[in-house]
Amino acid sequence: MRPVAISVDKPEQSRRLASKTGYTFPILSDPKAETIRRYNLLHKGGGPEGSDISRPAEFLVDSSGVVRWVNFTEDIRVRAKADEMLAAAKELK
Amino acid sequence: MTEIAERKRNWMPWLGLLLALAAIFSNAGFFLGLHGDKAIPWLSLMLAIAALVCAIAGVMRAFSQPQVYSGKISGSILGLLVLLICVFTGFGFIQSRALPVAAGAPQVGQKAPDFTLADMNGTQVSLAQLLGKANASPQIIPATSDAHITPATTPAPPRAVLLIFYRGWW
Repeated sequence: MRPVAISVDKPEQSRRLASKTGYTFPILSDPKAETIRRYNLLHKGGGPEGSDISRPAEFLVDSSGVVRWVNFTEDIRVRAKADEMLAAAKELK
Repeated sequence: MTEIAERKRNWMPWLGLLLALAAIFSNAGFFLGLHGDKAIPWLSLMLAIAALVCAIAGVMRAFSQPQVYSGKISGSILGLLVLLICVFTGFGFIQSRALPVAAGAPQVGQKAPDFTLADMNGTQVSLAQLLGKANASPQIIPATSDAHITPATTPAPPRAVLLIFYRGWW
């Protein structure tokens, strides 16, 4: 299973984030929030200075492109649990 | 001359402060990544409410029964502090949960909408490529105009992908 992060951040911001955190997985930029809108995750005015951002969400997509597990948190402080995601990924066999 | 009995220590406002501080510190629980952490926002809220109740009770005691309880000034100061902490906690609760309902988002069993987005190096990446689908041609589109375009390479074996939509680096 390969993690892929998506936000409205520009590539330079993602580079800074990756160097700070050491993340090696792809971090993709959706600056106009077009993909975010296609996934119905737009959080209008949720970002700094009232900018539009994505609401947090995780989707486990199997190799054929079908969603097999989702997580939509109700509270930004409550994060997805790594072991829950791994367990969901194991189920895909 | 009437004897003034020694007044009781007014401990209610102090208990209120303790509970209010507990409400703040409960937020540290989020960093532990525990499985029950969905409950922490509610725990924090309940502690703040309990703190406010104690602080109000304490201030009321000090003012309505000054012969019995001490602490008009200290009680008032603590009460104000507790009120500030509770407002802060309440505000934090509301702001952290002010999320749009992901009503039309892809659900289990649905196809994940395709996309092509730039990675942090400016390379265009599609969902099909990430999934390693056989019919996706992984062309590398370089940032500079006079670099070579490499021919399509053998696709990687299909794999699952965890899409993590997040708010941003901030």
